[in-house]
Amino acid sequence: MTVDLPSTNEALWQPNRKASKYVELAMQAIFGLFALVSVATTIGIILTLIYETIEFFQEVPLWNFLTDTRWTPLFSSAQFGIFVLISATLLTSSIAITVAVPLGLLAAISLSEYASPKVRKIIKPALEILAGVPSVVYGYFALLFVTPLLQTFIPGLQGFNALSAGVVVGISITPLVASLSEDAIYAVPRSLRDGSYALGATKRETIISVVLPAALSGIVSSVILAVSRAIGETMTVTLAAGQNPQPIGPDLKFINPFIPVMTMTAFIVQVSLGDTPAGSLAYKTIYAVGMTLFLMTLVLNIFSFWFVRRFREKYE
Amino acid sequence: MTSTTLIDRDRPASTSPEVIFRAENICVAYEDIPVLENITLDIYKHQITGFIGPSGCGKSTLLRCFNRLNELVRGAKTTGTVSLYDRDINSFHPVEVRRRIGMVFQRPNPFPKSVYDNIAVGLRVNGYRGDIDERVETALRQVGLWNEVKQNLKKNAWDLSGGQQQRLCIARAIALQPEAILMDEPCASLDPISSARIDELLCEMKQHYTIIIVTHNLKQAARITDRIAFFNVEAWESDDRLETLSSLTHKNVPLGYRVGRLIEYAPTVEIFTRPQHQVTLDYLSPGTHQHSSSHSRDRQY
Ligand SMILES: Nc1ncnc2c1ncn2[C@@H]1O[C@H](COP(=O)(O)OP(=O)(O)OP(=O)(O)O)[C@@H](O)[C@H]1O
Ligand SMILES: [Mg+2]
Repeated sequence: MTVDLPSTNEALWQPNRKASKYVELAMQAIFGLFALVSVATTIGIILTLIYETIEFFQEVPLWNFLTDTRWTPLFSSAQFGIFVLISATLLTSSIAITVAVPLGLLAAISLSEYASPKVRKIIKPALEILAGVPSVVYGYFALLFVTPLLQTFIPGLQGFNALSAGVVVGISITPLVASLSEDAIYAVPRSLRDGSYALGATKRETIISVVLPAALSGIVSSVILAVSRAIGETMTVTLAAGQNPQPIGPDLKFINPFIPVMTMTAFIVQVSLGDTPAGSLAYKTIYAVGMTLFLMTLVLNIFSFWFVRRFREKYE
Repeated sequence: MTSTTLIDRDRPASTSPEVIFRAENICVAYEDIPVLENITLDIYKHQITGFIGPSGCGKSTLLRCFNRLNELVRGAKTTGTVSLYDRDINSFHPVEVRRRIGMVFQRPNPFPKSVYDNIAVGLRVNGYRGDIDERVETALRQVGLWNEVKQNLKKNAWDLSGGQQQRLCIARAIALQPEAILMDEPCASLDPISSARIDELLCEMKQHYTIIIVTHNLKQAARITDRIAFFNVEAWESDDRLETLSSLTHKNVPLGYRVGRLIEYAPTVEIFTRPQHQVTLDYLSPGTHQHSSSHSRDRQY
């Protein structure tokens, strides 16, 4: 065996250091610029939100915002009980999550653990395409198909209702849960599965007691992302859940899934569609509601971040 | 030399220990590429059997045949039989086989759970009815890990050092009180002290368990094993060998293709003092290639 000697011929090695230095600088500037643009946009949006929200609270006390039991910003005797909208949003989102998490998780497990590689190769991109269907399509699907269908089982169900909106939002975010959870489950290394099988665990036991716990942080973050999606979902709930803010009261109408409700996003659509002059109170209301939405998803994301850090699972 | 004569030579004439595993004509192919050819050997009860040989000759593959783990590998195809006490292991439920035959892997693979749960999970899936706490403690004590982790059994196993992880994996296997343990280079990631501790443990365990250990550490092999099987990758030359593999692969495997074979299987002392094959000798004393032929003749007497 001969061993390569240290290089002595300088002429063979002539990297173009000068040009690469300028290219390096130019690249740095271009990337920096793009990074700056996206950061600046985000900051701009947040500043506008904060500014208009402060304006809003100069006219409507925060106390009223939090304690009013009605949402009637366009009436002369205006009331601004944000919990009317929040409860509707939470109602549709929790229905959506109840549909999406079991469906998505089961799909993810069967895809990564039971499907043959061929099937997986076809279904996985199909799922991702399904996630790209425009939400207005889902909205009409809810209104014109799911609601009539549900009405045959539930006689009291109204034409606009939180139930079918929630179910369809759930269906629309299922691919997201399935696809991201599948990634997490699939990434659990073979060696862990082998370790479990070698202890005499069956496939089912291996999935339940080793694979799923190992993929937990990925699964939870996919669910949290799905919750944020459901909360921010606009077209489907506007089209299918109606535009009727239900007052908070002992009749529990505000959490009745069978009647029309108004979610935060539906309110924003409603006001934006009318010609609301900039600077009017209705205009500022949009920002206050938008700010509330933003805070809710922010809290969710922070929680998700914390959770993933806490249960960090890196596979060597 | 054919495999039958191999076994006849190796089997002690008197006081022959009980055979626990008998592997007959094991051939394994991955995705139509054969990697092991016609392995036939007996493993004796309450002995430590060492598998040695160069990297890639199929030691891990053969080891995984003994607890039917190979059948879970996509694209792997195995022919031949392994019997456990004269019963074909394919006639057992695979889960039963794996409960009775523990395994420790080449790379530590603790579950991302607490130290306690790493051991408890195996007990639970096998429906252990006794005191789980007590078994966890016993298993950890046996591998010398108890004093290091007893303060915090809730600690995530992935926060242990590599050597601690490997000992935890051994504890996890012996907690199930298997009849035999398959170990794939269990000490590869351990420091000399933990490694010596494991060697000691293995020698103690020999009273009650049968152990098959793959190792690249010849000193370890010499110190703890009772018998050694030496494997090598060899080109196959004759057509009749191809025939044995025709059931395994559809591909036309060219002559000269390299495949893992059992070269020599004998008591440890014999392997080290009187190896019957040149390749074995070359493997056991590397760096003496130029002189090895004369060397081996010197060694004969
Ligand atoms: N899952 C697999 N798919 C395809 N080929 C494989 C697979 N596992 C192992 N092989 C091949 O089988 C041969 C034997 O591998 P094996 O892991 O059994 O070797 P080994 O003797 O344990 O080596 P080492 O001492 O390095 O651990 C190698 O050539 C390897 O490339
Ligand atoms: Mg190996």
